[in-house]
Amino acid sequence: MRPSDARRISARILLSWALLSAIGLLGVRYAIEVLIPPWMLAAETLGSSYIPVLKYRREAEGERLIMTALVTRPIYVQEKLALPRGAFIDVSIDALHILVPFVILFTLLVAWPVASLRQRARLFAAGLAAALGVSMLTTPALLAGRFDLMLIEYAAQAGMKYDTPGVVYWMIFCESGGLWLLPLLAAPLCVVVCARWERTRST
Amino acid sequence: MARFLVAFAGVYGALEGLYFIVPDDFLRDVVYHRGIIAVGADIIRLITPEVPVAASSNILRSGALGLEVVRGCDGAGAAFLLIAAIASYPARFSRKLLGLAAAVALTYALNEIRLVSLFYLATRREPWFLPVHVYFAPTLVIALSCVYFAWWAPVRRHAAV
Repeated sequence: MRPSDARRISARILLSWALLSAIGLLGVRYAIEVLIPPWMLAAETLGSSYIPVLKYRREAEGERLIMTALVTRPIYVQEKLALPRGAFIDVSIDALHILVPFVILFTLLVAWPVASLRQRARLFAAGLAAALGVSMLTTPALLAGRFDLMLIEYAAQAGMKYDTPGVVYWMIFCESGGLWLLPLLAAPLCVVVCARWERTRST
Repeated sequence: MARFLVAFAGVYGALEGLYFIVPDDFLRDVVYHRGIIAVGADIIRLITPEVPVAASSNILRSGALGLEVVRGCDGAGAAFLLIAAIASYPARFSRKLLGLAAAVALTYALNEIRLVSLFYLATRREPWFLPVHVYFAPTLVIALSCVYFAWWAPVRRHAAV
């Protein structure tokens, strides 16, 4: 990359990061409330023993996304009953943390060099779809993973073993870098999709 | 682009896989203690000699405060992303080596700055600790990593194949 291009892109990255972070900080509640319905749909597919209900809540420790799981089938750890049917269990994640992939994705899309405003608008439209996809892959899994992690810890305290479900591994992947990797992959994919769409339209 | 993205994800996945093979004890007592926490404590002593701070295993202690470094909070994720991007991008081998060395140094420095900043926020601006820890710091580290990559990435016409 030429130094002039690198300078321009660097400035755009840092400015868009600052702007988007501020927007996220101020608008986290609205973003989360809009996204709760699709996340609920995704969360329902992750647990077969409970019905998840998601809600935003402002607490003393900050703003949080809460998943209340209504246990519909008794959950056993080995032969011992861990959670009875009808129990309500709350797990939560920090609301701002959920926005990390959005900030990374749109920071890259704002910084990506384009030839016209129309191309930028298309890129943002693709980015919105990608953001929804990335958040559906991550947020419900972070909550469902915490629910299962709670069962694993319960089993460990009782000296028993609870087989780790796949969603816990996915949660660990997300927390150890997946929340960054997915938007970093999604942003160039948006560029590729938009470029292909433009080529198709022009032929 | 597609080839780069596949290689990028593949190298990142391989590095993450190797990272999870490293035993917890080794990370906690050697890498985190000597490489991150002890260095962080030295930096804090240098900036504010009056603040009592101690490096205890993977925890930075000051009075009742204990900042713990665990997997995922050690800067490895950002380093793996940069390593994967540089390894996957077409460039001369020597440029890649230099880029990788600088990337590791950069992510290490950013993580130490993050740790020290979090320490000061926890002791002096507590309400800001959580937003910076879970939101501002990780996104800024990735943004700065992208800036570094933009400066490192060679012009494609000069790139080695």
